[in-house]
Amino acid sequence: MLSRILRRGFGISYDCGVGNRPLLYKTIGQQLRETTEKYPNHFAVYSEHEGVRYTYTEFLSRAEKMAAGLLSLDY
Amino acid sequence: MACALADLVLVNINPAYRAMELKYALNKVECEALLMVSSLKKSDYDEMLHTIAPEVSSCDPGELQSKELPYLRYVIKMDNKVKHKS
Repeated sequence: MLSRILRRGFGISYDCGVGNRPLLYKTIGQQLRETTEKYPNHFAVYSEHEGVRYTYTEFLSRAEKMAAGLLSLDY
Repeated sequence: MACALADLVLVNINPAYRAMELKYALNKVECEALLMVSSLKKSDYDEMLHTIAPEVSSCDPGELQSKELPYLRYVIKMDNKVKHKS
């Protein structure tokens, strides 16, 4: 009912239903590792204001180091 | 990405926040670790943090206990890619 009202006045701003693609149950980290394995020398990120760019291998390595650093803090 | 790998919850903060909004947000999520840069455009984050919680600059490493930010234990500066425990 609500979605019909919204559709009439303002276009579809809310909708729900089953999509075509199934959900992925990977974590972001898992996806990064998979992509790095497939394309280790492709560029993952490019930072214009810092003037650097990193391949997936470099990016994963830096992210893992930072993650290890964060975990080494005593939570 | 590091937070995703480390199973840590990442909350982004609106960079346009002023000191009191920042304080509200940090306490709302019970933020234990703050990753920040010194400044961005017209915002001086070092100064902002010092205004809210001056203990950050003066306390011993690993011993941060701020009255205004009671949950905060670590401040990590992204400038120079060096981590400081506060």
